[in-house]
Amino acid sequence: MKLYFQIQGMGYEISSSIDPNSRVGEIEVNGVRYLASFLQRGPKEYVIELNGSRFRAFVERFPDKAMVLVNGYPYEVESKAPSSKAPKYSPQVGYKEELTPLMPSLVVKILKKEGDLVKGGEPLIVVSAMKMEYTLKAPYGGRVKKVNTRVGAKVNPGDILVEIERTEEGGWKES
Amino acid sequence: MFKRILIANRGEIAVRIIRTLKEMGIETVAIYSEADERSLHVFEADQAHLVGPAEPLQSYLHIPRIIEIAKRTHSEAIHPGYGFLAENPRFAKACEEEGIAFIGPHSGVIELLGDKVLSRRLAEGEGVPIIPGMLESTTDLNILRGEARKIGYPLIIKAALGGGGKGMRVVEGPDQLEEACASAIREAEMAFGDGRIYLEALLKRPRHVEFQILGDKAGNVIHLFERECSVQRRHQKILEETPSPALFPELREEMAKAAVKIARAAGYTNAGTVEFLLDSHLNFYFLEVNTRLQVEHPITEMSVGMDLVRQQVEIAWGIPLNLRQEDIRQVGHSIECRVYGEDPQKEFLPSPGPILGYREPSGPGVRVDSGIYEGYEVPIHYDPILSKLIVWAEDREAARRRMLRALQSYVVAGIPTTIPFLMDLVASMAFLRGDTHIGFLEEHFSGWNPPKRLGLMAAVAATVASLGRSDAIRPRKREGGLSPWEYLGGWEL
Repeated sequence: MKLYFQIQGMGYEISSSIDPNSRVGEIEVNGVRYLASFLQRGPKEYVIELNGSRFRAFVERFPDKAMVLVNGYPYEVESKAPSSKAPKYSPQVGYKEELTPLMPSLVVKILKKEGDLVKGGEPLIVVSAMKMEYTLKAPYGGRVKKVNTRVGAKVNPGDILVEIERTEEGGWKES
Repeated sequence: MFKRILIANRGEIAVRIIRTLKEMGIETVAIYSEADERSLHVFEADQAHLVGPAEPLQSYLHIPRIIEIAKRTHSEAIHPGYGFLAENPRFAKACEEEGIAFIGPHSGVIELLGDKVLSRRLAEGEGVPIIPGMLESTTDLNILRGEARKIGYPLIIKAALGGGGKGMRVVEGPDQLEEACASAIREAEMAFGDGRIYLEALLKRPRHVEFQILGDKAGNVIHLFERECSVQRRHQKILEETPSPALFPELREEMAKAAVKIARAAGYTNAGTVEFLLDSHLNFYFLEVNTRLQVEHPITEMSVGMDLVRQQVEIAWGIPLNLRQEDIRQVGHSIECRVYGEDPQKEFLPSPGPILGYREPSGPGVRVDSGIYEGYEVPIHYDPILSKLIVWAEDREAARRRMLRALQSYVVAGIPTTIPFLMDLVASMAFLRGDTHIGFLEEHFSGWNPPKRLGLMAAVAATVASLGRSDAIRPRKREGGLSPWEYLGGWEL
C-alpha cells in the first residue's frame, strides 16, 4: 500500500506492508524502512511500536485528512497526491545505512560469510520478531568485512549485525 | 441545611459545584442559555431551566431572570461560581432583598473590595505593604500626569474596577502616558461602565502569590495557605501550584497574617482570595481581594484536604467554622493546568468547535474538573475554559512528573487546546527550577510550536489507521481513486 501525506507542510511518502490481521510489518517513510507493530483500542486509539519504541496515537479521520494526536501533540495529516511539491521530511534517525534489526529480534539465519561480495538489496540475515520472520538486506553493495552475530542470538536495533566495506555508490531502496 | 440551591453559572465550575451539593443531599437547579442546551452542567443537575439567549447579558448576567428562576424553583440559595455575576454587588444585593442566600460575602463587602483603590487604602490602613502608587482613582489626565512623575517609569495603569486584565497598560515613558491612559479609560468604561483608573509602579519579574481565606458569620477568619499563579498569558493564569516554590516558612506566615488581617478588616465572610505580588527580593505587596471561589481552588482542596464548596455552603447556612488555624496542614504538592479551547500556536486564539474524541487521565492523585464530553460542541459565546487537570503528589517534582504523565494521556481531539503547550511547559527546565514570574511564558515560550519530529509518528499512525480494524468486516472493494480515508471509512462498522 502506497500513501502520500502532508504534515506541517512536509511531505511523507509511505509504502507499508503492515498486515492488519497480525498487526506487524514494515513501513517505509521517505525511503527509510522501519519495523512496525500496533495495538488498537476502540475505533480511534492505537499503541504503535516503531523500531522497538512505543508511542500512543489517537486518530480521527475525515474524508481528505486526519487529526492525529501523538503522545498528546496534535497533527493535521492531509492525504495528498504524490505530485505534491511539499519538501520531504527526512528523519535524523534511520537504519538505512547500517545492517541492524528494526526491533528486538532473534537471528534465524546468516546467509553470507566474511569476504563475500554482496549487491545492494541482497539478503544477508533472517531474523524473527513477534513470531514473524524478516530478511535484512544489504543497504549497499560491497564486501562483507565482519559478521558480528550468530544464529540464535538476541539482537536489538542499533546492533550492527554485518559490517560491509562499501564499493557501490548510492544506497539501495526496496521498490 | 438548604434543601435546594441554584447554580448561576455554566461549564466546569457549575458541574464541580453540583457534585458537592449532591454529596450534601442538596437539590441542584441549573440555568442554561440557548447555546448551552447540551452543556454538561445541564445533564448533571436535578433540574435545569432556560435563562435566555446565548449572549451573556441576556442569560448568565441577567439578574432579574435568574432571581425569577430561583423563586419559581423555591431555591433557598444561589451559588454564583466564578466570573459572570460572582463579584457583582448588585446581584448579591438582589439575592439579599429577595431572601435568597448568596453564597459569598455580603454585597457591601463585594462592593468595597471590588474597588481596587479602596482595597489598597484598606490594606495600607492595616499596615500591609502596597505597591507604590495612587490611592485615588480618576479620569483626569492632569492628575494622572502629576502622579506619574511622582511614581516614575515604567509604571502600570489599572482600572479602579479592574479584572481579567481589562484596562491594564504598561507605560515605559512619559511620552506614552496620555495615549495609554485615554485608551485604558475607554476600555474600563466599556468593560465595567466606569472609566476610573489609577497608576502603580511596575515591579520587575514579580511572582503572583495568593492566599485562600475562609471567614464565617461569627467573625472567625482562617487561611488555607497560598497558591502561586505566576504562569500567565494575557494576565490570565494557565498553571497554578501550591506550595509556592518561592516561599519559606517565615515569609509564608507573614503573608498569611497580612491576608487574614485584610479579610478581618473588610468584614469578610465565606471563601475569598487575597492576592499579592512578590518581587525578586521577596518583598510582598498587596494586590487585590477576589470575593469568590477561584478557578484554581482545587489545588488548595488537594493540599489541605478540604472541600471548599462544602465550606462555602455551610458558612452561608450559618454554621461556624469547626477548624482552627492550627488544624490546617499543607501536605505535599498540588498543580493545576487549565485546559482551554485555545490554539497555543496562534497566540491562544479561542478555538470553538466539536469535541470528536475525549478521554480523561486517571490514576493516583489525579483529578479532572471538566465541563466537556465526547460529542460536545464548544460554543463561541463564553470563556474558553474546557476543564482543569489537577494533580497531587508528595513533593513538587513528583507532582510535576505526575502532571506530565496525566497530560500525555489526556485526549481532547477535534479542536486545538492548550494541552500540548502545557506538556512542554511542565517538562521544561525553567518550570522544573521553579523560577516562575508573571513574564515567564513570554520569556520562555513565545512562538511555541509542537515538535516537528513527531510528524513521522503522525504519518505512521495515519497509515495504521487506514488499515482498518483487524476484527472489522471488510467491505466490497470499490473501483476508482478513493482517498485512504474514504477507503477506510467503509471498513468501520
